[in-house]
Amino acid sequence: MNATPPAGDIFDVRRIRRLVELMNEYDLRELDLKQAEMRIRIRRGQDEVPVVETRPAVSTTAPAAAPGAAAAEAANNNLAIVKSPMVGTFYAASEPGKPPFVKAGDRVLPDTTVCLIEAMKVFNPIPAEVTGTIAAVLVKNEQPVEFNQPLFKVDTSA
Amino acid sequence: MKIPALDIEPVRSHDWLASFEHHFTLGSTNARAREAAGHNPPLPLLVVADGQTAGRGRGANRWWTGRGSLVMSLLFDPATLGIAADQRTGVSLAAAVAVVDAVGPLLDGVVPQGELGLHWPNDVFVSQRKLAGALVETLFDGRLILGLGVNTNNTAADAPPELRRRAVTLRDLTEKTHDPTQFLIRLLAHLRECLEQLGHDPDLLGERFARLCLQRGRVVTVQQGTETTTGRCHDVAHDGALLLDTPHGRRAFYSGALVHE
Repeated sequence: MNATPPAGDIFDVRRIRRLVELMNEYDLRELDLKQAEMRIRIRRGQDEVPVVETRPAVSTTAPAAAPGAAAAEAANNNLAIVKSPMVGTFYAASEPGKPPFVKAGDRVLPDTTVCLIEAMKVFNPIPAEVTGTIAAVLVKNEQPVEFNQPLFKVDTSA
Repeated sequence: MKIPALDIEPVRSHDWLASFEHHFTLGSTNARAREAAGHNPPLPLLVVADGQTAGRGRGANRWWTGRGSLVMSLLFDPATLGIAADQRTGVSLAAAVAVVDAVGPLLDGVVPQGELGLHWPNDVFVSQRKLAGALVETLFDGRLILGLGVNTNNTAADAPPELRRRAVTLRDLTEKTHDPTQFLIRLLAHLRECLEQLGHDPDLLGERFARLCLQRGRVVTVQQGTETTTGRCHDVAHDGALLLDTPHGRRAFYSGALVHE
């Protein structure tokens, strides 16, 4: 087995050093990169939120994930981030003119639908996956979202 | 023109369907299928309506249903067709290919070759007018509702003025009506074949889908919310992504609507 990373490998130490420099330069707290089957996530500090998500400019991988695969990731002890499990368009409500599924201050349970993500005209309900109170809605209605993009902050202490 | 009625019995006894509902009028067949899903009917369940008063498209779009059109929703478990959870967006592609397969023979010699195809992401177009549309809803438990509207025996002359020049029907194109029962049974056969192909050979289904896309090689504008992007369509990926060459490089789109020029 060859232990030397191939050219362009995201795990190349020099590349990681350069990424950390860029994070410092632009004050980024988290960087999450994927290349084929490989993935690297770099975080600094203890604060929540900023996530830099990258995707290959052209991907032929299926964008969809099972509903329920939405990553509700703990950002700190009391705050969870509901992330998009797929590339698509964010819909805050079931239909235009209807109230949003959730808004800041709403209580949610793990199976509460917090939004729909649509890709290729397939609408997927996204569950909160945690119990808590919506602390912030991070995207706008009909905004395009990337894989793993934070959608909601949920206060799990409330 | 007399519009032939759907003969219920051959559909009810169709060997693929486990349940069937026919309604004269519904708000939306998808909404009815969602409601029925709560009672766990044997699957697949097909819901057909002669008329629909609140048919939906994406966003604020509504689906116009003229007398004689086909509107239906299929509630099914994709796992039974070999379709994995991460292949669900492919159901939208499979539906579009199935409709093209079903209407193709009826339009042979009627429309020039290359005029029937797909308007990304999955509308069926003939000569730049919309013949059919599909919309898929995923339920939490993984079951899917595939909603389909096909302009069959209706006429665009009855459509609201703003749609008249953008819609087309089989009846308008062929200047005759078509047996709705035969058409539905043929469509179900193609749907089943395309969905099974998605489950067992998704690349082949994706290739068929891409080949039918009318945007390849053309300059198009995609609208996502308030953002628009213009570029030349390099190709359509096998997973349905629209690949646009933009001034900022090649971009893959999985959602958004093409802006009508």
